[in-house]
Amino acid sequence: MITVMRMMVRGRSPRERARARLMSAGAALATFLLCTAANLLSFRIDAPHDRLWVFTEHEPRLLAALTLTLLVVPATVFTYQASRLATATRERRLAALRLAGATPYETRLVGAYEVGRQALLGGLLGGVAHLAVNVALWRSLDGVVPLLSPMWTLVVLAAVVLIGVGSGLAAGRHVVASPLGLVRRARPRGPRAVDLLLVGLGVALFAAGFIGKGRFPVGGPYGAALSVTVGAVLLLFGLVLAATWLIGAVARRAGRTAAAPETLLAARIVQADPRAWARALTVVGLTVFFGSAVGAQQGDILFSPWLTTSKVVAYLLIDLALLLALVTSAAALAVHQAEALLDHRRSFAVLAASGVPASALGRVLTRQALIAASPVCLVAAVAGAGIIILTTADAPGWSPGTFTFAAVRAAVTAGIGVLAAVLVARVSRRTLRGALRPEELRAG
Amino acid sequence: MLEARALRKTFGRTTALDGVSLEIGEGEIVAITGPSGSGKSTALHCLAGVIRPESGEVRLDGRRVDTLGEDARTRLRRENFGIVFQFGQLVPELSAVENVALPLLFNRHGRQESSRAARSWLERLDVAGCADLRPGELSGGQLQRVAVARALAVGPRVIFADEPTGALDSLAGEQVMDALVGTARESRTALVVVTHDNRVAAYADREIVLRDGAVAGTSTAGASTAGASVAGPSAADGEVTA
Ligand SMILES: Nc1ncnc2c1ncn2[C@@H]1O[C@H](COP(=O)(O)OP(=O)(O)O)[C@@H](O)[C@H]1O
Ligand SMILES: [Mg+2]
Repeated sequence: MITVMRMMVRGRSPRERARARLMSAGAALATFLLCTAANLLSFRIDAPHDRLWVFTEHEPRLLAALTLTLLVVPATVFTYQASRLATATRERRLAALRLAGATPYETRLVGAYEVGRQALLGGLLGGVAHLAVNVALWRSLDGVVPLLSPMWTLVVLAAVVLIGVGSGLAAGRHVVASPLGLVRRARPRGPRAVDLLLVGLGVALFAAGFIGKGRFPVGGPYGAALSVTVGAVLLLFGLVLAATWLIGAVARRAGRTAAAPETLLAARIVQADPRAWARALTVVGLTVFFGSAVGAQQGDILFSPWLTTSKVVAYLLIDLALLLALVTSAAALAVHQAEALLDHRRSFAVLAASGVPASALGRVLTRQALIAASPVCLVAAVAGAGIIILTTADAPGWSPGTFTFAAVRAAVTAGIGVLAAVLVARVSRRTLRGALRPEELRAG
Repeated sequence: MLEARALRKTFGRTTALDGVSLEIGEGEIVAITGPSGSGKSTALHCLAGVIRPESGEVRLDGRRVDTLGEDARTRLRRENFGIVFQFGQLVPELSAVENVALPLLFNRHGRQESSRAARSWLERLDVAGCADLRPGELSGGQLQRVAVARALAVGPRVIFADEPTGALDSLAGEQVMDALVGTARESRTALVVVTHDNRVAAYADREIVLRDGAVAGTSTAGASTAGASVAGPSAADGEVTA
């Protein structure tokens, strides 16, 4: 079995190699962030320190660790998207294994081995980077090197590898390779009761962590932080589910009423796999949500008498951070589009050969992005601005001006989200031209 | 109607076509046969205006095709040709009827009208029962018949088929060829079918044998069904079944 696994890894195509590298990079980033977060929490400098106060005082330390942990989310989404690259070629190879007599479980193991290997490589890389940065940073600060204990580093590394192997095993579930070497993608299932239960649990954990901050029953502040983090991850899962449902519904509608063939194609392609779009767009949606919420708050303050320069600067910085988050999620989107294109290159090449202009197929890509991104960004913007307006509308200082500002900010933020998705689609039109070459027709 | 003169096409150091000349008449059914790698697919792609030969010419009704730019060739393909490949040509997310309606929609027909026409084509090819299924739910033979329906739906003057039965067992292959040839004759559409299967070639009015990128011989229906397949001098050893 191991020999077969090694053979499969050696026979990878350039595209699969790129996929492997991207996955390792994502795993490395996640490991780095997690190690640094754990490090922040685990070491102590007991004496008060004038330059290291951020790390010796409790609250800022907790906050910094939490931020780092939350940054793992985009890194994970990115890694997951990367893992889905080149699925078509990989599935064909796995199907060939089935043809050679491997059991379904064994082919899944091979898939898991490939992902696990990349997670291990990336994890090691991230661990080493964490070490190097820490040593350099702490040396320059004080000459103390409060390294993360080896035990914790191993725990983080093991977690990263385990998650990799687990997702590799899970990914195999969607591919049904018959013993005759035919590959069929199982139809994605709708949400089940278990999923909703998990989301409910997420809400509970999140709320418990927040409300019980000071007097959390287990682990004190660490327990509360852990509860909030786990709750946030489960909530994110819930958001993906909701986005999946929303995107699927919009695509179904668009497909039913479409008059243009480009729209029909785009809608059906989105409808067939709304979950992939939801995954890629959830981070975009969150960015739009926070962008609109912050915008509504900015309106509240801009039109109030207590406006100060430092507040303006603070808000500008927040906007900048949001923009950065949007760029990260756009990268995940780009990976998703590339994957979707690879899946369609043969049928698209045949369409091009029978006289469908490449520009029309390019429009299919942008319309997919529009169909999927518009509802997510719209809902996120309305929710973000709405929450702030509803909770602060009766406060003094609210005026029609404030309201208009919040509404315009929400519209602009949603627009930027949709624009990012459409821009990514436009960029992948170049890849499309490559996919339409007549060579794609030659397999026959 | 469609003619090629002295086509030459190379890929790096491989010469795929080395001076191929042939002619397809209105409504004629022609098989291009020859061993694997003899340049059949490349010849088909040149004839269909998918790729351009390095030298030689392709004419449709006397009008040069190979000198046209990409846009003009795309339009010409859309208006005159239908194409069927061995596999993987249907969009997996669309139902069979939507797949067939697609080229009609691209030709700016309305949604209702296109669906209705698509359904009637599926009926003619005996796959009406599959109309609302997706390609993943169809058998190989059904897939190919849907693909044939899609190629025929726009009312092309020529249908190009590259190994249309290559992925099928002999019974399904026979059904697909019966449907393809039958509907082509009914609608007076010319058919160019590339194959290395003698049984498929037997459906044709005329068989053109390629070898090493050149025409090695031609035979008409009577001769090829009688088994003395090839009239050309260099293909007398019956390479056809490579
Ligand atoms: N895009 C291409 N790149 C490189 N070589 C090619 C390409 N297309 C065709 N060839 C070569 O040209 C020759 C003829 O190919 P093809 O027309 O596909 O043959 P057939 O369809 O008769 O099997 C073969 O040697 C093939 O390897
Ligand atoms: Mg061929």
